[in-house]
Amino acid sequence: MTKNPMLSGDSFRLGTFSSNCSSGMTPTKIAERWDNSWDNNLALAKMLDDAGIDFMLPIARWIGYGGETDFHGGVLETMTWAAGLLAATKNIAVFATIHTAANHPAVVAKQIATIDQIGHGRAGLNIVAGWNKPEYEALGLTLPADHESRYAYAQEWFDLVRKLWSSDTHFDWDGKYFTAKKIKVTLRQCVDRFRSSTRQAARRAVSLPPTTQTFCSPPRLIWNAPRLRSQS
Amino acid sequence: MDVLTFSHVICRPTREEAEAFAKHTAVDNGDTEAIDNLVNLQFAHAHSFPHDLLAQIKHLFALGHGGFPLIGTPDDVAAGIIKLHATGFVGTTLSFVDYIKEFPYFRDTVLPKLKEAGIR
Repeated sequence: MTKNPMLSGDSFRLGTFSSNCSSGMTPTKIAERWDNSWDNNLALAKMLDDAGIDFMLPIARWIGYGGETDFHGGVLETMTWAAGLLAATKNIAVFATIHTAANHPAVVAKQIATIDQIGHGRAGLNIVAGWNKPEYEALGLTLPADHESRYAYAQEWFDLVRKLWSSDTHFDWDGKYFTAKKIKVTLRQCVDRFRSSTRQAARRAVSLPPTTQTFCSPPRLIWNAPRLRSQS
Repeated sequence: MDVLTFSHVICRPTREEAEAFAKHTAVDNGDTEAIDNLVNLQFAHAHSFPHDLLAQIKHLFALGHGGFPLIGTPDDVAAGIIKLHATGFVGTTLSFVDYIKEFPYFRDTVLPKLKEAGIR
């Protein structure tokens, strides 16, 4: 098992963001704006890995922002992107970014458990609960108007993922948003890793409010804070 | 709880070069329609921003999707990251206009300064 750089050491974490997206983070018309091709992402990942950079974090986007360049109109899907990069690198952590509303928790639990094996413990999960209404409409999904509903859904989504990661027996789930019968999708290695990283979290005395799970998965996990709460 | 933030890097040998490139990407050639759509969506419920604050927000979105600007010489960029560390963040994401073309200069000039400062 490789060390996950997000879980070890105390150095200031550095990683790239949004290299999977057309134009990266800069909505500019200049010709030399970022070409987010797979080949460029692969070359970048190897360069970052060699330089000791800690992580790569992608953005999940399903429609662009329009304009002449249709900023973020061409985005590499993050789970497959992470799988490929983890296979091609040695030390860097690579995240997938997942919309809870567009991805079934059992599918994601298994995908992450799988890419975590590909990367020997270097996979990460960035959970997003939704804010971009036109994007939800494009997917035929309903974005609840209030944050409480969005985060209640995301919380149950993650509770189920976590249970799937930690349970080595079949179980039933009868929640507000999800039901499951005799389910057990995760892999033995994942269960072991979950338990060990939960112990690690306890050692680091991470104390979290119940709705902002940040740290206790097999991979390092980012819980995207309710970024728009103050504006609603 | 550990908190990371996000930053956008334009690192050049001189501050003039860095600022000229920032102007080139975000001011002279910003995709203004995309920027308006991006900012309007981010702040869909906030129509009461003072005009100058909204203009500043739009400029930061044009530069690097609203990320903390790390624009200038290697010393400037390193100082910005050290400041984020001192503020209490445990890390930051980085974006570059052209990641592959620009990361090596950052690697060769900024990373050693962070190591020297004891934060990497």
